[in-house]
Amino acid sequence: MLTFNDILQARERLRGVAHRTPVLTSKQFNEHSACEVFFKAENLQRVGAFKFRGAYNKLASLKPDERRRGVLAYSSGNHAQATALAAKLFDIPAIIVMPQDAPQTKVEATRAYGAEVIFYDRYSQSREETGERICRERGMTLVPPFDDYAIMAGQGTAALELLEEAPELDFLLVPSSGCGLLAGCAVVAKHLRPQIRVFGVEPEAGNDTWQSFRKGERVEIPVPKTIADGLQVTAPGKLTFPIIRELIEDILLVSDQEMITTMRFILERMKILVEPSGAAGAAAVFHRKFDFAGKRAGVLLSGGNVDLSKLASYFDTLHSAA
Amino acid sequence: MESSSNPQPEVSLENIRAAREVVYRELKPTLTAEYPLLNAEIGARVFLKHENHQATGAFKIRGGLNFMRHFAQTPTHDGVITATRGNHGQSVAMAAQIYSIPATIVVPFGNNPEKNAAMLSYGARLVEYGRDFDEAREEVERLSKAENLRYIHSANEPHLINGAGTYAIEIIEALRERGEKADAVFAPIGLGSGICGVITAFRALSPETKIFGVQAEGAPSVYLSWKEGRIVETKDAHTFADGVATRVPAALTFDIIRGSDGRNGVDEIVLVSDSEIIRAVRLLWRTTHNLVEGAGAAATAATIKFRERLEGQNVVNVLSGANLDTASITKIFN
Repeated sequence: MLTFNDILQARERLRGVAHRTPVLTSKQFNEHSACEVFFKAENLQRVGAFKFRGAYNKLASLKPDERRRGVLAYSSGNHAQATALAAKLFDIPAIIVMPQDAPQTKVEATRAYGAEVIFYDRYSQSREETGERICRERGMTLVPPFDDYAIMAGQGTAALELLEEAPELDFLLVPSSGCGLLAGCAVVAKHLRPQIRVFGVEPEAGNDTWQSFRKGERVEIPVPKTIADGLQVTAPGKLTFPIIRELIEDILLVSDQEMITTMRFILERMKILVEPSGAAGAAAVFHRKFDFAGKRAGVLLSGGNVDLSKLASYFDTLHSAA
Repeated sequence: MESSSNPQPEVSLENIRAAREVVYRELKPTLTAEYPLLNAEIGARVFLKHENHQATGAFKIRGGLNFMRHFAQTPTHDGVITATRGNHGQSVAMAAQIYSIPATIVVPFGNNPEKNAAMLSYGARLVEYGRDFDEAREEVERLSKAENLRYIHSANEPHLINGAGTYAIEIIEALRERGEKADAVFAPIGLGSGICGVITAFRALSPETKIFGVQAEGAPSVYLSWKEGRIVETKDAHTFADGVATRVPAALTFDIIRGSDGRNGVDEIVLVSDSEIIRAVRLLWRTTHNLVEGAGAAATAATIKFRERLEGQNVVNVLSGANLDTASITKIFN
């Protein structure tokens, strides 16, 4: 169970540790989307993504002797750095399990926070087995990326802050992969404002939650090919799915092109850099995937970790396709 | 052009405090934060003042709001006008819209279309004139007379400085909440509205803090003026950091920077090269995931330069703005 109180408790643990990120507005974005948008800029969160909230809350919720033995996560993305930083702040050991072909920059960033990186071969080994074995051997606790109530509660604090600053929202749009952020935010939003309509947003190519939502049960898809590398999960979580199934309106789908155009607009006009998956919620409003006209929408900008040497090529793709 | 019939208000702690009330009607305080990776890199505790998270992407809006509030109370003209290529224009446009004051912004032909679009979106009238900023200024002079518009200089305006000073008070308070004091604060100098707010607030509330202004090597007019004790103009300004690319220092801010009327100004002005600024932009991205414009990284560039002197100290860096255009990002990170 995930309750509103869990999220309030998470907020107390995160106070003074996680950034209270700004809520941004843009006249130009509003004009283009015919809707009044309030952006929760989690790209400006520590480690550049909302993931820090959940990871830190998870570590804070462990028993002291449990925590002392350390934590382990498998991720080559934002969750890796989030867990590594949270562990550093608690001064406990952290192991991050990554595929051998993880980008060097991600490996270095994770190590910089003092975490140990252990590689697995994604073609011959299961990362879960690798991770579980190490946890057993070293008495470490696994920090799952989304399917955990403490993680979800941490992520939900982002929506709590957003609704404190923009209480009268008609809609809330949240990028969705394993649905940890979506579930946490949905619990907060529906508690504080029952009439709000919450949408998850997924890439067209990775529509596992969209399919699951329609079928009423978790659907697993092959690893999707999408530019939104933060949203490449193959199925919603076992714990997250029942929550979102009950609370959200629907899942909206956006294409890679739509995410990139939105990301570019946000960079050029609002001067903030979000990663393609971080722009998914904004893309659903920008490209009018639902009738948001004349209403007030909260949008989670979930992360900003772009490989900047690739930025030009993203936008070149856009030109050649346009 | 300077035909305001209102007496010029003072730049003072009291007026900065009054400005806070005006600013907080529209904005929230920005974050002051430190980052373990950056601290490790510098060898000091570095507190970043995140004006790059500010509405319009720069601290200037604080001053803009303060100015417009006073103008709206006692309008001396039929509207306001300014010439700009950047953040000042967005600040004027947004603040004027909030107070329903007609605003005209004159930009040179070929100005960054992203910035023009932003100013237009706030309902400002955008006039394109001249080949460069100086020619645009001539049109401002003509229009302000012809249409009775109040010219807003981007630095010689006490209301702008008092508004900017509100971020300095936030820094002092944020450190105090942590039980800390700043040993040194670094802030970029374009024409100086930001650093003069820092000087005024810190001299009153945290007098032991050393204040470092930062300019670009290719645009050192305030540095040269400070060295010589008189206003020195440079022929040109060569730096990609357009927030500090100024040639002609402003009289009001120069007096405060130099320290006059028995008050202390800056302790030092540091020059940094474009490559040092670029290195700082990259370092901030790598260690804090914040993408800032060149001027926004100048304070950190100077901190890196003075690393040995600052060892173990509490150092504040003002990240004054975020407005990096796409072409610059590509250039910096490739």
